[in-house]
Amino acid sequence: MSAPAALRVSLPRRPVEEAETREKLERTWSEPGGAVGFFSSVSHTTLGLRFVVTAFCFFLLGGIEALLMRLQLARPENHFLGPDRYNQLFTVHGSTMMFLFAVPVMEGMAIYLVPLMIGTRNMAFPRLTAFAYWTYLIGGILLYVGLFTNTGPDAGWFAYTPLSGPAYGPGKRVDIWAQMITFTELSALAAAVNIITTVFKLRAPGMSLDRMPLFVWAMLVMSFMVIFAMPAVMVGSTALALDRLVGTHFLNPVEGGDPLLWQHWFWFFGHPEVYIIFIPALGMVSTIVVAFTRHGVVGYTAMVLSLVATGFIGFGLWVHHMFATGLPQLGENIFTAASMMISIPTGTQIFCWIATVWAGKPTFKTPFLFVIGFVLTFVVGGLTGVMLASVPVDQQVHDTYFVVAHLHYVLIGGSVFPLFGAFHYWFPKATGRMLGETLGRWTFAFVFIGFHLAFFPMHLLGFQGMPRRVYTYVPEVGWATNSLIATIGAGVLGMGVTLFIVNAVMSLRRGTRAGTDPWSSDTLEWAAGSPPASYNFLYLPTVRGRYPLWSSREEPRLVVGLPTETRQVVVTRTVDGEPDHRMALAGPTVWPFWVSIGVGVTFIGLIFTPWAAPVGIVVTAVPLVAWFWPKPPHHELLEEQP
Amino acid sequence: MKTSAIDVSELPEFAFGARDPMFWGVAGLLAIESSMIALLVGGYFYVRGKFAPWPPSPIGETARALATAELALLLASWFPAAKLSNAAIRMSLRPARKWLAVLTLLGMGLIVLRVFECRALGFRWDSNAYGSLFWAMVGLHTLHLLGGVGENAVFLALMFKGPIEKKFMVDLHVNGVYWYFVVAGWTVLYATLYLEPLMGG
Repeated sequence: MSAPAALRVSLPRRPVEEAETREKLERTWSEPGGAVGFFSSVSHTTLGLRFVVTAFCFFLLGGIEALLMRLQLARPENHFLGPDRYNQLFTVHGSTMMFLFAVPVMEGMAIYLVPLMIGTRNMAFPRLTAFAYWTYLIGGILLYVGLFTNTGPDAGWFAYTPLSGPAYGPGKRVDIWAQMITFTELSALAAAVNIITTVFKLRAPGMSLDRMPLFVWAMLVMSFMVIFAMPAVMVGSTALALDRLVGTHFLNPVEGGDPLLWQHWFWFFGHPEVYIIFIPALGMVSTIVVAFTRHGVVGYTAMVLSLVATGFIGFGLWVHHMFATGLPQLGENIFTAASMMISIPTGTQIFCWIATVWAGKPTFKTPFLFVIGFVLTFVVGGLTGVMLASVPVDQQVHDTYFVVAHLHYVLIGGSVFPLFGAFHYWFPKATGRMLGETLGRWTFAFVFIGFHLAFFPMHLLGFQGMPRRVYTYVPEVGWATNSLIATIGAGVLGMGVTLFIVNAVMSLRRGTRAGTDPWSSDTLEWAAGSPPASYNFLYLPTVRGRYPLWSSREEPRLVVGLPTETRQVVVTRTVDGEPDHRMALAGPTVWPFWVSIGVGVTFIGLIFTPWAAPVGIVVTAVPLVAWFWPKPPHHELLEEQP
Repeated sequence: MKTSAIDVSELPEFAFGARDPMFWGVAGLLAIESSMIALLVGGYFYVRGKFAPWPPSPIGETARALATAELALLLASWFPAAKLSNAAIRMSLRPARKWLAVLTLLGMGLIVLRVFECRALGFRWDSNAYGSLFWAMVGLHTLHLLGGVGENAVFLALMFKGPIEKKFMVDLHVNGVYWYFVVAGWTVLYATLYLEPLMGG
């Protein structure tokens, strides 16, 4: 069946009619108020913002945990924290940063920005967005209820068996960790499917794949990685939970299981996870570089191919986390080669950015400063990564502070710096006000200097043989000076983050009004209001190039003919972005929230009893049916009715 | 400046297959579930090297017969599922409803068979790592079976209740894709759990 082509017509712009359309759209797309309305929201801007703000709160909690650990390690034989508290802190710190901050914050940025950037009105599955958010929130609260009741997980963020198994991990600490994983991964998977469908089907007419902003490409690649990586940790965490709850033997060597099976499952997820966090950041860097050099990105195709290649190669590296487990040498060689190979696409992108900066006219505003900080820091982290890919080096520094230094260089340098750049860049879009530039520069200075002060000495501590996860050390080993410098650095970094919060709070009240497009940027989100209206665009835009807002010499072409009484959007073809059909998106409802509660009852119940499974199926299925039960029809009815 | 527009009011309100967003949603779900199955199959062969003889716990003959019957039924269910898909594309409600009813009944029969299969296995999830993986794989498939049958039942109820939008037939069609996955999933798991150990080696 071929669709009738969309007709080209000329659009007389009459202010009175526009105001009417605006009003109708507002009625259709606005969200109910009050408490029920709060739990019913399906808007991508509301939920995207909730994801980002919630994730940022967890970032602050994880940061406080880090500061407590640094205080403990500031001098030898310190007794500020005991070993048990310290174990809980480093486990919860790592788990928070990876599962409750890094992945959700990137998803939140995607949920907020992707529909705007591709010129549509919401995510493809609006209620799934709500489900993803509530499920994530419940998982996060579970972890912190554990920590605050002295039941915080204590077996490290990767919970190696047998330490985390039933024999050595008594109580419910590890179970809380395992279920928190299941919650957050379920949430990430839901978000990923939603992002992929939105990107493939809801792009503005004319936005073929080769005109898609690099940020959207990055979020697409990230989502595909989530789909194939996250199931591994869900299978793993379920196996671990079952071993602890009903006496299965997946990971028990006495009954034919294998603790290394856990490591394979975990790292098959865990390594791609690094790229799941890093690739969205690459998309942010590309966006900021283009906006602040006022030049189209050099090597668009190479950039896209690099993102995709990173996505594939990212799945071939997991064994390099297991070099110390005595694997066959050929296997080690293959994973060494893959680990070194992945620096090629990343290197390609760095050269493309340098070329873009070279060709353009850079303006050094705060977002761009963070990008420069990213390049400098990430290159160091990337190089120590190439060092660690070599088995002999890895064997030497395995489980030392060298690895701690490396992973923070790539994760903070590679991901948090671009994210702070992105916060400064998109803050006006979300709030309508600019972040203060002076405080922004101070934030960058404190964060950048604090970071290097905190983490560079850790390379040296690693060479000096300081192992990870020790709560204290004796003065004779000579780790005191570098540890103290690292602690001071952590404090400076913390002050940088505090400055950012002060800046955000002050700017929310007194910041300069941003207007629609304060940076004169190139992507479609800057054609929507700041903050965007509930329906994003009065008329959906169409696109005829890679930089739609920079091609203003061409006459704008908009989409008309969508009914304003239902939440209809244009569905376009996956590759060429030509209009295909119309579809009404789902409206607000409280049921996804109740499904998340059902899932919560199930997963939390499973910490204590297997009977939570049958009960959980029922308490989840009932709201699930209500969620999908059709409301008054929005589409044409079938001729034949029952 | 002049502004032009494209008028989309003549575009249809639904489309089948890869043109439909819900199709991509289900495709994503199936990619996730396939990864889970693949990871469990990987784990199964990973622990295999630790057991001699293989399998360490013999599979009950009744269980094997029931599992084979399930496979036959599932493969046979391809027929009503295909009929259902066709009826959905043709927008004909009554045949679609008939074949969905057949599919739902078949599914319920399969659940009963599955319960008896599990009871006749002769080993438990806590017998050894083989048992754990075996039960996990069968359990995961059973969850999909329950999900598929539950979804079919809800669709069936809606098809008796009405009113029915044309778009509903698109969702019905996508629902069929999920059922094919339930069939394909058991084919892979049956080959892994029941056939492969017979091949010696």
